[in-house]
Amino acid sequence: MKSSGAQILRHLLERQGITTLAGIPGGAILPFYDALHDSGIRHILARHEQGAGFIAQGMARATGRAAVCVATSGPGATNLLTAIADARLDSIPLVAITGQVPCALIGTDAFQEVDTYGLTLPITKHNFLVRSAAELLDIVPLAFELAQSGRPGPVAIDVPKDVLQAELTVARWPEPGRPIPPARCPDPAIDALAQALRQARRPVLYLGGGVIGAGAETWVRRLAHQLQAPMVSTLMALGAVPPDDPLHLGMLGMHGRKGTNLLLEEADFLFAIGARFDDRATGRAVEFCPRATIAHLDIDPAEIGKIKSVAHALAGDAADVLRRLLDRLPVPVSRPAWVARAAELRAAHPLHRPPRAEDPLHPLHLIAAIAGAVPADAILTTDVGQHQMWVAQAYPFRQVRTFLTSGGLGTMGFGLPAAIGASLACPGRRVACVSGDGSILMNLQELATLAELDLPVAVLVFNNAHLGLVRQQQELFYGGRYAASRFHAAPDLAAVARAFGLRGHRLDPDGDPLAELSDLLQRPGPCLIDIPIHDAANVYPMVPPGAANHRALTAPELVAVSAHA
Amino acid sequence: MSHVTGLFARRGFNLDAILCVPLGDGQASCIHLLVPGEPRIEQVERQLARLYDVLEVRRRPDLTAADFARFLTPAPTACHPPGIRD
Ligand SMILES: Cc1ncc(C[n+]2csc(CCOP(=O)(O)OP(=O)(O)O)c2C)c(N)n1
Repeated sequence: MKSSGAQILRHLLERQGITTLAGIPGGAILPFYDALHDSGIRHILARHEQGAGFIAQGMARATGRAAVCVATSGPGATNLLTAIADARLDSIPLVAITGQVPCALIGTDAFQEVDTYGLTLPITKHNFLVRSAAELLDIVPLAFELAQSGRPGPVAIDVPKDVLQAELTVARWPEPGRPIPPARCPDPAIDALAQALRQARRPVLYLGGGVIGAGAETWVRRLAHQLQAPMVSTLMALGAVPPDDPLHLGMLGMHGRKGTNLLLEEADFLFAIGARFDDRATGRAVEFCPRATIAHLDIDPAEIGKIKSVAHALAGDAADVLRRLLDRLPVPVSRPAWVARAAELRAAHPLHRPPRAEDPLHPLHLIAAIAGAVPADAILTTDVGQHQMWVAQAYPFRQVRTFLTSGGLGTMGFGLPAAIGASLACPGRRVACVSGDGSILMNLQELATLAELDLPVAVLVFNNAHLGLVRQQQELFYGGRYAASRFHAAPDLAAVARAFGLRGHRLDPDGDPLAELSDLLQRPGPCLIDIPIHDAANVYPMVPPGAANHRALTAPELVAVSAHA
Repeated sequence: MSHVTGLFARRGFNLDAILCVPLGDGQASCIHLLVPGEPRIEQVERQLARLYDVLEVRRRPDLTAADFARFLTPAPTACHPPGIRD
């Protein structure tokens, strides 16, 4: 029996185990939508292709498995680009399928023709322009293999309309694409590292998103405790280690706590695990960990030595390497002075916030209230800005894949569609999207998708009537010359939510807003809660962009209260 | 080919000349890249190696800029090796 290219594509996705995908149809991709019509695959109709891309990302980030988004040629494809680039920088397995004009029209400036292959080339792990229906049989499994193997990433498949329509008899279906295990890290490198770690006097483990990608969180904690080595986390690693682990000093870098960055100044050995020495984490790279010998374990050999030269290079799967490393460290190492020093630095530099009674709507109080109102396995997404950093600093993430945020690209508009995707992938879990009044407008249309799907997603807008992080930078680094960071007209977001068919609320600052917030979060179903916060609140500490981490600015005027008190 | 050349532009690596020769039945090709004075040569190699299309990366200290120039057609206008500069 003959199948069309579109039916073949659909069947290959089914064979990959894809049950849900997000997209928006249009001319060039319509044959595929026709094939979806009688399929078990659930299609989520986003309201903008960027929304579809981030819905797929939400599914992928919450599960670790590749997810699929679909768009038509031309504007559909260009609208997907931001979500693809975002997946690239955060190493998220995403398969983006786009329609293309028929082969014969490629290169003629046909209606809705754009060079999707050329546009996606620099922002994907790999990309394909499919030339025939038969090629789909190789390309689709390969796309899933590539997206999920080694360091994950996005793969784009551009399919001309006539390829979707071509008929073909498939004699044998290919095996679904599966992640290929990375090459095994050689023993001598692990032997040498074990010895170096034993001999180090002030070692620190620097954890990146790769820890979660590799499922290595248990091994990391065991190693830290065996070695009595404090841990620091990047934004992408939050959730790998609970905040109350006595050896965890939380997030390092631009908005990390002062004690965390100071500890790194004192370290004599830094073991980076699945981290890439991003500038937001390291500050001025030459001044990062000035006293430390560096060991770097990463699944991507190209990351090792990219920013800092290292004494120990280990390419491989973090869970496998750490397990083998622990085999070589059977005797617990005792480092009481170093552990005490870490505890001292942690205690000496808590996050600063005003007393709760004085300013209950301070973001750090809000975050504590959210954490208290939702279950420990709730998934939080954020947009980008101050609210994102407050969440990263203060929310007590205790499980992997409960914090989904746009780290590398820092894309405003990520939060809402990613929350929808996470909720689709994890039915029964509470999902909250913490956003800003700037970011939420960037994919606001997905409120319609949320209302339609009726998922348990709460959108919490920290409303400061500004592009807050921009305003903060203008205050601190541009002499208070505020340009284009203030909104002079603001939509009534609660009313907007209601117009989309959702529950919409605005917290009353004169009542008991934190109690009201917890109460609203207990109610089932989707909602948007507009939360007025102080427009001058800043995220502290903050390392000036480009400066060394020890140059962090802090907020001396605020009273110190531990964020986890 | 575009994956390889795109990488140089994207990562800001120096690239002075490219010579691409199809191998066998044309399923694969051999690309010679002239990368003079690039201090991050190891990064260049690693980044190339991680491209799915790239089968192997090898250094050729035996080749020089003159070897690239020899392959030029002797048209009077083509006085530089063809290639991409960043
Ligand atoms: C798509 C996009 N455009 C611009 C920026 C630059 N940017 C970073 S934070 C920010 C302000 C965000 O404002 P808001 O969402 O209200 O969050 P707040 O900082 O106030 O918490 C801007 C404009 C960005 N990160 N992403």
